[in-house]
Amino acid sequence: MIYSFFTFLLVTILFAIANSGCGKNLITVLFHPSVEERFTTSLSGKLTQPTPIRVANQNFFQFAMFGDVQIQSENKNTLTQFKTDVTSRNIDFFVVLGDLTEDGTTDEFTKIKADLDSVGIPYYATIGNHDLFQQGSSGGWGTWQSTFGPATYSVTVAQAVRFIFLDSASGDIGPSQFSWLETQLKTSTPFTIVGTHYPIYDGFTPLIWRLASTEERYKLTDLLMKYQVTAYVAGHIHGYKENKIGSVNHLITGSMFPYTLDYGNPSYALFTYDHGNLSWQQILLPSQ
Amino acid sequence: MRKTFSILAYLFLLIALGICQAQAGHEFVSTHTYEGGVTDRVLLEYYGNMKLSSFFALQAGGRVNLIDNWGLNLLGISAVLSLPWIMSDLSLSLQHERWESWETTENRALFYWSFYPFSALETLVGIAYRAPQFAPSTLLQSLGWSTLDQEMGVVYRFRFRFFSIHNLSFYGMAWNYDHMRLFTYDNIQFSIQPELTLDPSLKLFGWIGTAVKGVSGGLVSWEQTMFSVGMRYDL
Repeated sequence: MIYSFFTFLLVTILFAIANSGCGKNLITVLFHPSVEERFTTSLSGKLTQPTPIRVANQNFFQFAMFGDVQIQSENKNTLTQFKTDVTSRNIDFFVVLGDLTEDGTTDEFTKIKADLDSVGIPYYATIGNHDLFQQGSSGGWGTWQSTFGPATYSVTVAQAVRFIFLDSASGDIGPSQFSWLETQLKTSTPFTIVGTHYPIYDGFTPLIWRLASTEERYKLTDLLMKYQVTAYVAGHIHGYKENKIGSVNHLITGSMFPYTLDYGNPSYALFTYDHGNLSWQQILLPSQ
Repeated sequence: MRKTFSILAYLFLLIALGICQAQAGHEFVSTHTYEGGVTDRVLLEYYGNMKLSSFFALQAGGRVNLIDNWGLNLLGISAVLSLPWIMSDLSLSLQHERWESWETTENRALFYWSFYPFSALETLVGIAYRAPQFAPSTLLQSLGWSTLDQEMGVVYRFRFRFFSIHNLSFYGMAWNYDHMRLFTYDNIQFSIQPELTLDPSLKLFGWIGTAVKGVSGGLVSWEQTMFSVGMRYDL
């Protein structure tokens, strides 16, 4: 009893300080829907599951992956530049790896949906921690479901590139999602990309931006290596980083958020599938 | 590789136990740790402490995992320099941890300062270098100290006595490093520890804890629990 009180008090004070002045809902920060609950909802069959995008040329197509648009009502985001690139580079579709909104409000969800739709090509999205910052009619997980559908799902494009999207919005993977991931990985495709919000690694002196649990990170790393995943692609950190662990490429795609950069400029990762080969490069966007 | 490692590790522990017989403290702990979707472990742990002089001590420890990732799970050795006039210890520790089922090992070096300003408060701060080895094919590779994924981080522990009656004390702890268990510094462990002093050289203790993880961006996940019982005997 004393312990529970002590823990609760300490964490409450810590987060009250950390979140003062931000648009986050403090109760949601401490007691948001767990990853287990979100995963169950994502695969409940009640949400419309995304379907494979049809590309014009199955032997050659390009797609962009990025995270952290973090749109606010007054935000000037970098999608404007991205829209130009979509036309000039012939990008077929894109993927957003969480933090589509800054504070997870219904207004922000409405705005980002309209913005993403206006790019004019199909896209997939998965959830980030900022998208959970509200509850109920204010926004958060409920609004995510009604706007974008599930946060955990898998799709295969052109029978060549398989995307497995994980919900890591609260910084963990959870029991059911781990089991589901392993089941999904047992199906072989030429290229498998695991896309989620949190990266596993962040260099020699990491801050708090990658998955926090050592054992969760090591178990996930082992699964990715065991099933020869092509790339683990994440957002969350506002910068671009590449690493290779065993045969698995680890990418942090860069952020569309024009402010608060951790390193480098806003950017996205551009993937090219060309007759059985998959390659990628960083595309820089101008900082604001 | 597991067999070779196990033989070497048992030898290491036997030598540590033998050395510690001279003038030493012994600590035996049984711990149950649970992390949803990741691991569920029952650990048997031993930590020995040998005072070589008034200012210098060696500590060695190891643990066996009885269920997930079963087998010898951790070995560690520490050198401790006591500086009683500033109520401090300086420690250098080398540790090797294994997760057999995930074909992963981690070698780490830690340097930390322990400070005891009051009898009711202990603090520890320091740095940790961690070098995980994924899918090592030989024992030598599993003992490597350099990879592309090595990390440098901080370690900390704050332990305070908040309640005491007769020979029973209760401690609260916020930590990411204790008993050679190391978590990332944003995976904050909170524990409560009752301790019963049966005589000056014999203590029984318990331990119950949970942790926050995923604090980045301000969201907290409560998914780790830990429960321990143990005995500490000082010669």
